[in-house]
Amino acid sequence: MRKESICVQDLFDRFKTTLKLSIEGSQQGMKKRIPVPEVQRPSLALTGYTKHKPNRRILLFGRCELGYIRDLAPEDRRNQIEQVITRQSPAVILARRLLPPKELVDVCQKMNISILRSHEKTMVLFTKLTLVLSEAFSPLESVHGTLVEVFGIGVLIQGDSCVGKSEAALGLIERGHRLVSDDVVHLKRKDNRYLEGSSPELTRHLLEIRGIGIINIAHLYGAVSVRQNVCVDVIMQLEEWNDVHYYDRVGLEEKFKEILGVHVPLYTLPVKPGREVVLLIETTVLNHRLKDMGYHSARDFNTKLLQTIGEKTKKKRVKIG
Amino acid sequence: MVDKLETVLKVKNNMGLHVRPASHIAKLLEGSHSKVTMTYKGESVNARSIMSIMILAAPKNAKIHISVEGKDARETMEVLAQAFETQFGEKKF
Repeated sequence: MRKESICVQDLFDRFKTTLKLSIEGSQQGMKKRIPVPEVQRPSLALTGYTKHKPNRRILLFGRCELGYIRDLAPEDRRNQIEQVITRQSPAVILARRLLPPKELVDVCQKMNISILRSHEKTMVLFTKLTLVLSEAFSPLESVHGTLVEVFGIGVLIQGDSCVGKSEAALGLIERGHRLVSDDVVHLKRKDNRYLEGSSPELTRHLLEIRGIGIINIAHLYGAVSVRQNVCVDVIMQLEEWNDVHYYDRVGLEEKFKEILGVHVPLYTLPVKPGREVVLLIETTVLNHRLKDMGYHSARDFNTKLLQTIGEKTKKKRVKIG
Repeated sequence: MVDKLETVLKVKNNMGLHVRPASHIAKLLEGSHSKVTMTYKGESVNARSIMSIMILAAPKNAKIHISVEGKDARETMEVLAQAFETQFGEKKF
């Protein structure tokens, strides 16, 4: 697992359009690292209450904060601003394209902190900043496998080399499903509860089939057969059929695989000549969707079976009685 | 006994790890029973997969960290070192 870490320059370069940002004055603090994906409106600290004041957050100044600074006596402004901004603050952002007061510019220059300005309204900017920072700080992991969207469900097909992951993906695409990535899948934990999978830019839409070579799925089957990214809902583990191994024949047990702290449902599919893997994957996915909708075939059948046994036992007791 | 060996190998051919060297490495590893991982610039990939090797987009002189784990780790590492040294068959004598 690796965590993305960004500096103020990265934030500016990647999100300047989304956040409608521009740099105000000096660029000396643009190399500063952003240690936490959090934003702070410093209103309360400006008034003098600095207890529990977080120092490592990006500081967002809106009309309220700047209005308060301007209403202060000129000799008090600098002191109040210095209570809010520390050398650990990564950046100062002004909403509504407001102009920074002279004292704020001075303090930022002294502390080596960049000032950015945005056209957005303060609360809109606050929300957008929180979202882009959370996106930029999401933990990442690259895994070996093939990611396909089947009936709207993200299926990560894993297994040893040569087990037939790419061939299974090709079969699924031929039946109208979509390829996201082959061989290497980039996974990102989103919202701390689900995984989003995508392809490395270089190998996007490509599939490698032994005996054929590298093929471009978007060119062969059209734009409808590919996707940029998808939420990983299930993992399908393909493995060579092993006569000694006991494979699940009922479906009552549910297995999960943990990736980046997220538990993803895991299904193991043994592969051998005569077993149509594509059909098996489609069926597993449909059954998974049914489970999500609250219908668990194996569990429901078991409940029905237990009821029948219970009724028979009752009748037997009545006869004996 | 399972061995684990690690080393750093330098890409010596002019065009870096493009399609042909990637397929050359994958072909060499077909006979190996070890797990081989290649790491470059923080990206670790399975060296048996051509596509995985290619996403490294490693240019000439790139230093690739190689990790081999398995019962034939020593032989596999020797084969790989030889392949890097001979520029995956692209060396002009």
